[in-house]
Amino acid sequence: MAMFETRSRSRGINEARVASIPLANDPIFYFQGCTEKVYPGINAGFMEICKAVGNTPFTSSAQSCCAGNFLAFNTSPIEAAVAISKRNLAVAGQHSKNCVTTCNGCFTSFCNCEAYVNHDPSLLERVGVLLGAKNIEMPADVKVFHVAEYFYKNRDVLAKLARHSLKSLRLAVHYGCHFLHQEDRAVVVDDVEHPRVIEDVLSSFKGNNVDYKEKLTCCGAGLNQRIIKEDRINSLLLTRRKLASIASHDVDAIVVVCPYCQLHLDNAQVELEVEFDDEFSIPVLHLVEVIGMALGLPKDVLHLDAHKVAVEGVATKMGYTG
Amino acid sequence: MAGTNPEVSDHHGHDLIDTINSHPLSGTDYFACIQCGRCVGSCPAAQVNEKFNMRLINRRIIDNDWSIIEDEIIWDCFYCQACVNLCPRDNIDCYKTILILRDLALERGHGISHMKNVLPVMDMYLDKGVLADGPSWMDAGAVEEVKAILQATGLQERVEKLKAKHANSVQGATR
Repeated sequence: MAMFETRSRSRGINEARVASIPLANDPIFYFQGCTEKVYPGINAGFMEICKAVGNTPFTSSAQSCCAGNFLAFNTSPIEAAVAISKRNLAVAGQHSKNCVTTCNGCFTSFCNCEAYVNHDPSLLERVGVLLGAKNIEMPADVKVFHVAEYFYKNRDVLAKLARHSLKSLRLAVHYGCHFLHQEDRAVVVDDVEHPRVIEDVLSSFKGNNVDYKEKLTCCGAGLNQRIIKEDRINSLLLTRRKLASIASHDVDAIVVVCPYCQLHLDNAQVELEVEFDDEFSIPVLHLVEVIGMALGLPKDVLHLDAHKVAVEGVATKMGYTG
Repeated sequence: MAGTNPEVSDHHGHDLIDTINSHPLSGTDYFACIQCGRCVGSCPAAQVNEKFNMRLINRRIIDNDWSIIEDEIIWDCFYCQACVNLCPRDNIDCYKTILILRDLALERGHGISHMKNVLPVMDMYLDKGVLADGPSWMDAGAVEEVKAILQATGLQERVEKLKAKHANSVQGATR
């Protein structure tokens, strides 16, 4: 019975989900996120990493941003969120049945909208009528995957291409709430209480993963807290708690799989210095950037100078010169 | 609405629950809550703000306590969805409950100040379909398509209404 299954959520890796993840050279559509202008190395780096394994993801100038902001900010009827989500999946579906995103927020907005229409089929009908009036066909069976899943499945292929080992680095992984917590648990690849897929990817590149007490704690952005609360104090206090836990382990960098977590953890270190005289100075790298550095992608692809907290120390330590 | 969520029982006399259940994202049976507090245990908001206690929010809903709509605490949820995975009854969806409570609050003119930084973000989306400074990466035809969808699905109208409410509240505060 479902009631008893949920008493302990630890269940290991979701092998059925792993089986559905595309292989390195399977055709994929890349759903780019809104942080292109903040950390341009994530989009460009992902494309180059794929090219290195012989894949060229499809992209499209018809894709909009995800519908993540709509419900998170209470500004949208659910039909608008589902319609935008379905429209983007229709754009992806013109190229591939597999869509990959590099953001927990985009991933969750797609997964939640699917869960909502599965829960209420009449919602799908209403959205179908709306999209049909604009001559947009509902996408057939397009699956959305997170880049962390894609790299996890293909980690051995990727690691063979490594030019720089991560063996000199102590890395603190932040999975992010929306990589682990979903309405539909079938789309979660990892163990919710003891996640490991990102650490497994880093281990393939000989990185040293550091366990820390607040590993599962939210980055502090809280999806909407950074925007809706003027003083941001709860947000900053949570971030401070997380960073203090990480700092006590003498790490070289935090590795994230969500540009929004990255943006917050990076910027909040500047804000915490102003508010509390904290001096954490821990570089915050997206997994794409880390793998991109390991593969020796050029500096003008990874744009590491876009970070608030300088990442040169990490680059030097692993021998990456770009 | 109860029609879209047949598993949710009809609780006559609890008009707050009836109102929550009329929201398209409803699906929680609040009377099935055993008040165990697991939703609080790993709640990020509760870690930094002792006033935010999802167990007590559920309790107030069961008690038909409409003052919850006006309470600032409903704006403290981080929307992390951890509680969704923690409920031992596989039932209480705190994330969606908070989302619904905020919708009810905004409809009744409460909490509108939280829209200050949100509305320019939505304007950006309505203008170019993407949330990024500078020109949109979308082609012009695709932007128009997105705009048409946002109009047809009522998002544009809702944002305009929120903007009017926000402008009124700012005006009222400066009077």
